[in-house]
Amino acid sequence: MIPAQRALVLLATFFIVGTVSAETILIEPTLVDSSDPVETALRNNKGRATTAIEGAGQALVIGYRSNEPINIFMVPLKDNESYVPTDFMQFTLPQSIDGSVRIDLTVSPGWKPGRTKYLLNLLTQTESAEAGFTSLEFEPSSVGQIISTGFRHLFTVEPYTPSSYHALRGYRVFGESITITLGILTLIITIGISIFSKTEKRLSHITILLVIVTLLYASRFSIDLLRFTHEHLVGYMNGIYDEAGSAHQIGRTISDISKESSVPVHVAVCRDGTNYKEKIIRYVTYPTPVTTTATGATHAVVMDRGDWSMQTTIDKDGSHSTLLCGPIHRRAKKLTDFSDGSILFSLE
Amino acid sequence: MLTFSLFSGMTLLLILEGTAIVTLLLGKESILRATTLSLPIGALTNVLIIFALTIVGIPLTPLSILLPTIIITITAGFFAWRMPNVTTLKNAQQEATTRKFSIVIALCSFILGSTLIYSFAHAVLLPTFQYDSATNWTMRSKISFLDRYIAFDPTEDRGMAKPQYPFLFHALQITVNQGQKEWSDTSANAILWLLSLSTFVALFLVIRSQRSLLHSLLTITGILSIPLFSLHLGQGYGDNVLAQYFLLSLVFLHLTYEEVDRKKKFTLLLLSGIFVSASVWTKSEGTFFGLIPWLLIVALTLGRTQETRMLAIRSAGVTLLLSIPWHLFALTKGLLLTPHGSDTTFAFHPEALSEVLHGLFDRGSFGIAWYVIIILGVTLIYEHCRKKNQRIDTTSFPGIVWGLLVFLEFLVVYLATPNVRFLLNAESFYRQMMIPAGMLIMSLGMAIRNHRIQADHEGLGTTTLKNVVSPEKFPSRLPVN
Repeated sequence: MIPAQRALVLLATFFIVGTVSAETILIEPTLVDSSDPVETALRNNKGRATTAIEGAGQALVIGYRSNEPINIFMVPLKDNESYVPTDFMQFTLPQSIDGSVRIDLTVSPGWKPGRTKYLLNLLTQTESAEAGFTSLEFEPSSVGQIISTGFRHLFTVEPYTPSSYHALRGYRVFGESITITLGILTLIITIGISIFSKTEKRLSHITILLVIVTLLYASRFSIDLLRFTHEHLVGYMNGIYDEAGSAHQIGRTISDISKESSVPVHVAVCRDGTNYKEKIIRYVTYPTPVTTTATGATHAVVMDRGDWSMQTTIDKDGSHSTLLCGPIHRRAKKLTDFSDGSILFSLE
Repeated sequence: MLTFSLFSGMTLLLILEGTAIVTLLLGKESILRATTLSLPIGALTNVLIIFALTIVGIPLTPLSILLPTIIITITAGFFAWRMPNVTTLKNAQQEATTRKFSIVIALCSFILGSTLIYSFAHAVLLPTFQYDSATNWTMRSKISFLDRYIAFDPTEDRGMAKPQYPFLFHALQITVNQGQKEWSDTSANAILWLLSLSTFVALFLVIRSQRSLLHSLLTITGILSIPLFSLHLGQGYGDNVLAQYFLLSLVFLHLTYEEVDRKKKFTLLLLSGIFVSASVWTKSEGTFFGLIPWLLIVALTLGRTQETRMLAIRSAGVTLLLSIPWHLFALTKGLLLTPHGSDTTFAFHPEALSEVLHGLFDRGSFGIAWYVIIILGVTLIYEHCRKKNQRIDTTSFPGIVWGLLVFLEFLVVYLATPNVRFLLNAESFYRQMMIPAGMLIMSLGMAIRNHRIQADHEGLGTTTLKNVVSPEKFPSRLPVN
C-alpha cells in the first residue's frame, strides 16, 4: 500500500447521482503487473493520498477537478480488506477544471459483480496540488457484460517478472482462483464418476477427465508462453527487455568502452529500487567492476532514480557539468541515453 | 559465425561422446534414442573431466578439456562399434493411426510446441534475464571461464554467489565456450536448452518403448503442463536440470522393474544410477532428494532377494563411485553440502501450513497438477487394492514412492527448518516442489498399462519388431494377483 503523505484537497467519498458529462473521457486502466510503474510513480510524484470507495458496477464515472494530472492506483479489496497485488489498476486523470472520466473497472481480475470496496492511491507531481472529486457513480453491469468480463479475466495474462521463476500468480475470474475452481470441479466430477460409472470403466473415465482438465489448463498457460515470447522479443529488439529494461544494452556499451579504454573501467550505479538491473549489468560487463560506490569510478549509470541532477558551472576553464546522484558528486559527461531512461556518463 | 562454429563443434563432440557411452551401455540403439540420451550422459562425463582438472589444478583450457573428451569418445566409440547388434530397450510398437484421438494429439502438440517456442526464444534468442542466473549460475560459469578454474568465491565481491553448488551446469557452459575469446551468453544458455530438449525427447522415446504413442505423449505433456516447469525451460536456473536428471533416473528405474532379463535389468538400473549421480553434480538437492532415496528404494526393492541383490549392489556401487567424489571434495574444501547454512536446525512452523496449501492448490505455479496427482494416485491405489485392476502396472509403484519421498522431504525442509522463510517469501518452495510434481506425474502415468500392449503380451502375438524380449518371458512380467 502506498503510504499517505500530505493529503490532496478534498476527496469525496459520497455518491452524487448525476448525469454523465458530454465530455466524459473513457479510460481503460492498465493492470500493474510489475513493480516498475509503482516505483516510477512514487519517484515522480510527491503528493500522495489514499481513500476508499464502495459500490457495484462495471465502470466508475468520476467527476473531478484538478490543477495537475492525478495518477491513480486502484484495487478491489477482498472481504477481509486485503488485496491481491496483481489486481491493481493504474490510470491518470488529466488536469481539468470540470473533468469527467469513465473508468472500466472490469480490467482488474479482482473485479466481481456485486458490491465491492476499492482502495484508491492518488499521486500528484507536487504536494500542493489542488484536486478533488465532485462526483462518483458506479455504472451497473448487464448479464452480457458480466459474461464477457469473465472471459476477459480468464484470458488476462499471467504477470511475468524476475520473480516468476519462483512463483506464478495464476488465473482469477471475478476474484476467484481458477485453479481452485477447476480443481474442486474435477474432484466433484471424479466422485460422480466413482459412484455412477461401471467398475471396469471407472479408471478410464477418471483418466479421461484428468487428461481433459490438464490439457485445458495447460493450453491456457501455453497462450501466455507465446505472449511472453512475442512481448519479450519485440521489447528486446526495441531496447527494453521486460523488467531488465536496457540493462543488457548498458552492459554491452560498457564492455565496448572497457575494450577500448587504456585505463581500467569501473562503473558506479546510481539507482533506487532493487539491485536486479545492476546484477544483470554486472554479469554482462564482468570482469569490469560495477558497484554502487563512487570511489574510483570512471563511469556512472543513472537508472530508475528520481532524485539526481546535472549542475552546470562556468569558470575560467569553460563550462563544466557535475553529476549529483547519491554518493556521486563528480564532473561528468553524458555518453548515452538508453531506451528505458537510463543514462551512461563518463566521470572526470 | 566463429562463435556458432565453435559451439557446434563442442556440442557435437559431447553428443558423440555421450552416444558412444550410451551404445556401450544399451547396445546399438536407434540413432534418435542414442542421440537424445547422449547429451545428459555427456554432461556428466564433462563435469567429471572438469572435476579431475580442478583437483589436479590444471587450468580449464580448450586443450585440457578437449583432450580427455576426445580420448573418451574414441575409446568408447571403438568398443561401442564392436558391440553386438542387440539393444536393451524395446522398439516402439507400430500403431494404426486413429482419428479418434486427433484432438488430444493436437492439443498436446500445441502445448509442447508453445513450450518449445518459448524456451528457444528465451534461452537462445534472448540474453540471460533471471536474477539467480546473474549470480549463482551463468555468472559463476563466466567467472570460471575467464579465471580458467572453477570459482569458489566465499563472498559476492565479484558478483558470484553459492560457491557450494556442484558444477555440472557450469561445466557444460564453460565447455561450449572453449575456443572463444569472449564469453558467449548465447552459447551458455543454448547448450542447456539442448540438454532440456534432448532430455524430454529421450523421455518420450523411452516411455514409447513401453507404452503407446498417445500414452507417451500425454505423460510428457502432463509433466510440461506444470506451468512453472515449462517456464523454467527458458533456462538460467539449475532446478530444471536437476528435475530432468531425476526424471531420467526415474524412467530407467521403471524399466528396471519391468525388465526380466538380468543383464538388461542391470544395465537399466545402472543407467538410472548414473542419472541420479548426475543430479548430485547438478545441485545440492541431488544428494538428499535424489541419491539417498534412490539408494533406499533400490535396497528395499531389489536388495532383498538373492536374484537381484548383486545387481543392486553393483549398480549402487557405481552410482556411489560417481557421486561421492563431489561430497569428499566439498567437505575437504569446507563447502556446505546444503544450499543454506541453517538447513539442519529443526523446529516445526505451523504458520506456514496455510502457505503450503495455497501454493499447491490455489495459485498458478502448478496449475491443476496436484489435484490430478492426488485424484489419480488415490484412484490407482483403490483400483489396485480393492479391484485388482489388471491395467495397473505395479512395477511403477517404487517410482511413485520415490516421488512421494521427495515431496515429503521438501515438506519437512519448508515446514520444519529455517527454510520456512523461503516458503513464506515464495523464493524457492515452488520451484523445488515442481520436482516431485513432475516425478509423480510420470510415475502415475506409467502405472497405467495400455490395453493394446497388455493384449499383445497376453496373446504372445505376432511381432514385426526386432530384438524384442523373447515371448516365453512375457507371462512372468504380468502381475500375479
